[in-house]
Amino acid sequence: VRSRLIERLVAPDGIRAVFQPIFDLRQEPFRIVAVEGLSRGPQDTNLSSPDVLFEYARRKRQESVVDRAAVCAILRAAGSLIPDWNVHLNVHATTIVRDVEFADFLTRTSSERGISRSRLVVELLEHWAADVEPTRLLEGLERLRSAGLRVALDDVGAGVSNLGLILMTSPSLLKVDSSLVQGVATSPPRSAAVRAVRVLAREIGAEIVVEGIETREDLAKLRELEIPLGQGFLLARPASALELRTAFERSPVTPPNRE
Amino acid sequence: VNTNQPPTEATARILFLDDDADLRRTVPLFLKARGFDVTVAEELEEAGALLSCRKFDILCADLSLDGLSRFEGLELIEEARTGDRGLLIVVQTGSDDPRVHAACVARGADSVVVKGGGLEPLVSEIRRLRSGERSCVAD
Repeated sequence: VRSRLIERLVAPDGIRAVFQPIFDLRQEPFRIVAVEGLSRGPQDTNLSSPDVLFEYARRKRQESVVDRAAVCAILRAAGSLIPDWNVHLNVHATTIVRDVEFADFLTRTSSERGISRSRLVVELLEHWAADVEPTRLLEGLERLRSAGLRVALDDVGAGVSNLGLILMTSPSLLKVDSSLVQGVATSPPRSAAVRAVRVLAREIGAEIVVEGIETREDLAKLRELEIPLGQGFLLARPASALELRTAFERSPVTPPNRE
Repeated sequence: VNTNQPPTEATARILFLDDDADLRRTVPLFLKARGFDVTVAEELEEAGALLSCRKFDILCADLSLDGLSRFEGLELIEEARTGDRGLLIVVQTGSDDPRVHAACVARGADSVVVKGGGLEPLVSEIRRLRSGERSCVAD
């Protein structure tokens, strides 16, 4: 029996979608190449906060139910985005493992919303991926890839990171956690770590995105390190699809506060 | 929840867990009127998620300490205690069985308050615990 909170989450307006832009950092002015779809629970509940929302889903063992509701909300809103932006979706590893019809659900829903599956990137949270049985995770990832979906590994470098997971899952894209990125301009060890992930990404044929860019100094250092893609509050905060389209339709972004 | 300011007596952050909708509406009003910052949860998993993601000074949990849910309630107490040694944990229960109360304290509760005596005893118990007295059973 679903709880009242779960019922609210899966209701048509239960989850709100906002989007954080991902920019191409290689050439100024920076252009948006993708957006990360983010979920917010009902505003009058504790689940309006995304960290509480997903921790709650995990504890209820309802990750798949919540992930499906989030996908519906994000892809519905994504219809208002500029069509050449890719759309990243955060999905629990447990959903990929246990919900064997998730890949079909994802492709069917994107088709219904008129969003090509070639625009979709499934972001797998690295620290939660370590909790599931590797063989079953690989089977789940294969279902996604067979459906024409790309897979990204999220939170790379966060907490106790697992390089073996990167090698095992062969992601199309590595997203470097903000805990490695923030302070990269003044910390040689962080700089070395980001450089190492960049080298690894090249070796395995994956793209690399850094998260959590919040200062001009870190942005400059990341560009010096030849990091091609990035996101963070310095460049743009999460916003609704309509807000983003209005803000970025006519002109690409220029890095703020630059002399 | 205000997580940016250090707690004071006036802004002590309470996570209030109760599955009774009427109590979730009325008790927080009572506690807020006495200067507490109250966040309300209706499910064990919701409270657990909040404790994982936010900082609280006091967990005030109305737990059904019978049947299967007893174990889940005790697990929440133990997890809360393990996660934050400084958290004050007050369990409200309708049970007056001393073995149940002892089990709560053994898992990490600072106090067990038997329901039915109104809300002033609860506030008094919270204030007593905040003044430094711990590990007792109030009724």
